[in-house]
Amino acid sequence: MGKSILVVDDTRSMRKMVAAVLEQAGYEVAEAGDGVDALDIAKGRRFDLVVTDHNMPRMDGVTLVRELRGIPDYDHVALIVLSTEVDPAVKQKGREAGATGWMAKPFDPQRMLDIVAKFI
Amino acid sequence: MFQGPGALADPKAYRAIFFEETQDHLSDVEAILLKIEPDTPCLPELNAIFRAIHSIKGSASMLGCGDIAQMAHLQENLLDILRKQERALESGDVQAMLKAGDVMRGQAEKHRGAIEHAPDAVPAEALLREQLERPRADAKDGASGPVRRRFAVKLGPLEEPIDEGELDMMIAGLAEMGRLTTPAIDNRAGGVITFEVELEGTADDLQSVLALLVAPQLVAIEKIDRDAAPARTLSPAPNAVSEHDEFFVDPDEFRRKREAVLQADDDDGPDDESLVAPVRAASAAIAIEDDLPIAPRETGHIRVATEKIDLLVNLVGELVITEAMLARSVTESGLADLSRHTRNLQEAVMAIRMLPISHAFSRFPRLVHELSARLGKDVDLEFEGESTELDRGLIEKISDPLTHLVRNAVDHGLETPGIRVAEGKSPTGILRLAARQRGGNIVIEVSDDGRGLDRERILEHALLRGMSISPDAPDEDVWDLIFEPGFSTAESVTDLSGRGVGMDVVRRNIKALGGTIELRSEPGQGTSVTVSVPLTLAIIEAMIVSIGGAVYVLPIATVVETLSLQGGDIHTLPDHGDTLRVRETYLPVIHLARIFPPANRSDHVGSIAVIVEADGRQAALVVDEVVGQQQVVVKSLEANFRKVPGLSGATVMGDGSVALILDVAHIVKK
Repeated sequence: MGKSILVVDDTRSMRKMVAAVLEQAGYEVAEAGDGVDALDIAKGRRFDLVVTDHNMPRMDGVTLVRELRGIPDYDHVALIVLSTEVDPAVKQKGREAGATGWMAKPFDPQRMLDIVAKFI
Repeated sequence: MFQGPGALADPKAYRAIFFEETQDHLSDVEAILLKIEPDTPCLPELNAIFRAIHSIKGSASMLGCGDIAQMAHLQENLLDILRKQERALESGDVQAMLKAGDVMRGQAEKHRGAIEHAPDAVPAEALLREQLERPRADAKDGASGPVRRRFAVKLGPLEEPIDEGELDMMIAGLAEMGRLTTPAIDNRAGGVITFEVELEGTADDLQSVLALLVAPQLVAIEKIDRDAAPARTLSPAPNAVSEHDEFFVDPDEFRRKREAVLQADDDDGPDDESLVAPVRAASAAIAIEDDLPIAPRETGHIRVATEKIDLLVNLVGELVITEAMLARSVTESGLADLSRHTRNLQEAVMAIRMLPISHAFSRFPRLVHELSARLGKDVDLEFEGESTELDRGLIEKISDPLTHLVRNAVDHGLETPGIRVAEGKSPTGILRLAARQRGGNIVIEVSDDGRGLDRERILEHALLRGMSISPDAPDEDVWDLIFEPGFSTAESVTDLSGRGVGMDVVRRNIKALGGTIELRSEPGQGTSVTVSVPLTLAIIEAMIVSIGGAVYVLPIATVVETLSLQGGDIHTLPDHGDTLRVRETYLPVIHLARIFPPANRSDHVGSIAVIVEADGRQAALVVDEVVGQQQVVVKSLEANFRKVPGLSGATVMGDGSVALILDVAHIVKK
């Protein structure tokens, strides 16, 4: 059974790139354009891992992580923030919200796959 | 960057999305920048700009557009200062970001291959860096004077020893720029060089100096705050990867915990099934939704390639022809339906090509902002009827003439605040762009409440240029002079409106679109220019005439009336050729059969005169018969054959034959 990953990013080009890398590696990928959409989709179905951008309209990535951690299904799902934001204070907020990890954009596709493999 | 099995299959595909996205983001950013007021709080706006720039940066660096990423990076640093309210937004910030936006737009165009050279990024970068250096509210360095900063620098671990001479030169150079602590030097492979330096300039400046010596990823710079407050480091340049990755949970532990929980869930037995089943059902529903593309920002809009629309327009054109063909041979009631459906379909398809005029207007806030700043004028730009739609091809064509009118209004029409106040007006001038639909035309009015045209000066100018005009001529005739080639009332040709393009070119461009331009002006009250162009160029309402058995098409917009000719109606006047008396005036007669000789001359009787008007001139065209009136789909002759003087295009008639569309303006001019 293929593992499923939810990719959240308001930037279509970035979202498609992340999705393509994961799909090529055999994961089943769903996409969402912001935190609100992502939360909707994630409530209807449990994903095995979530990769989310941080700076997004309507709901940012750290808030999404906090909301997802409030859903029992997502207690033990890795939630990885993928962002150009590297301010330690923001990263700390992500950690407190329950993020599993923080990856800096631009990302190296192979490194992304290695990390996903570790946590899925 | 892309290597190994995880590499992106086709970065090109994402680049296309990225370029589109970037242009959208930059337009949004520009619109916001033009709206926000310096020195007033605007955190939501700054956040929106930050998000857009941040998005651009992320994708740019993934897709090999390092120049765009670099520009975005500098803007992000500036936005960071502003968002954290370390100082208030200044107009310099807006200018720097507008400039940076222009550069990024150009850079994207260059990457896309649309232009050959990317714009010079250096001036925009300099502006941004200058703004980055502006004193902040919490700066302890005082409000003015150059700011000196202290940085801890670490080079290495070195891949190989640095050339001793170069190293000495760098150290000497840095010592000259500022104060340097004695460096700790371990100049071997794997070694590290550390020192502290205090100088004017940013970490980025220092980085670029050091990058001459060692690879950029080996340079680490940290700002040291003198008051030991938390150090503010610039976020890294966009090409630095992975050292910022951080995992808050150990993967092995994470998995162990999860296994334990899943195990416990399995032990729950029957509950498990009942829990899982609804989730699966939900996931099936979601799976369908997953197929839908998610377009977060584009609610209610789709992007369609122009070529696809053109194809649709062409197909519908064919359908219209087929319908006309049927109309000749079938007379069933179903035909009425076909006719109605075709017309509706045609309208619907044409509507896809229609865009709101706001697309043409969107460039003006920026233009007016810059012009008025340069001329020391206060201008309020008002829009009305921005949602009025017209063909996208026309939007492109009408943008330049409108730009010229807007430039003129700001440059010549509106006065400086001082003069306005002296005249008893409000110091802020008003420039209005109003669009509305009238019949098959869109009417755009560019009006200002400025000084109005100076009748005396225009007359003076006209006389100097040897134009014939009576000093008592009505205003309309005087205003008309400024549309004459080579006329300019600007006392000095400024670089704003000058540019060697006058109102004559504006009028010519509008005429070429089948439009008209009118000007009204009141001294001291302002000037108003009204441009009217057809909503679309693809379909025209036409009168069909025949000459010697051949069928020709006249745009109905040019037709004034038709008269049947009796023998002796046409008079030949010396020096004027043939003329026709229509009520009080004599019109020149143009025998179309002489311009387009029919194959069979004997069929030509010339019993009808069609009075046409173009460029303010009327003439009587002699034809044999008025066949009818219908809509025709215009096909370009240039695209399918070549440009022919006197013809503006061709169309396919109901019987499948080709009819030529007459270029009335050209014919009347002769």
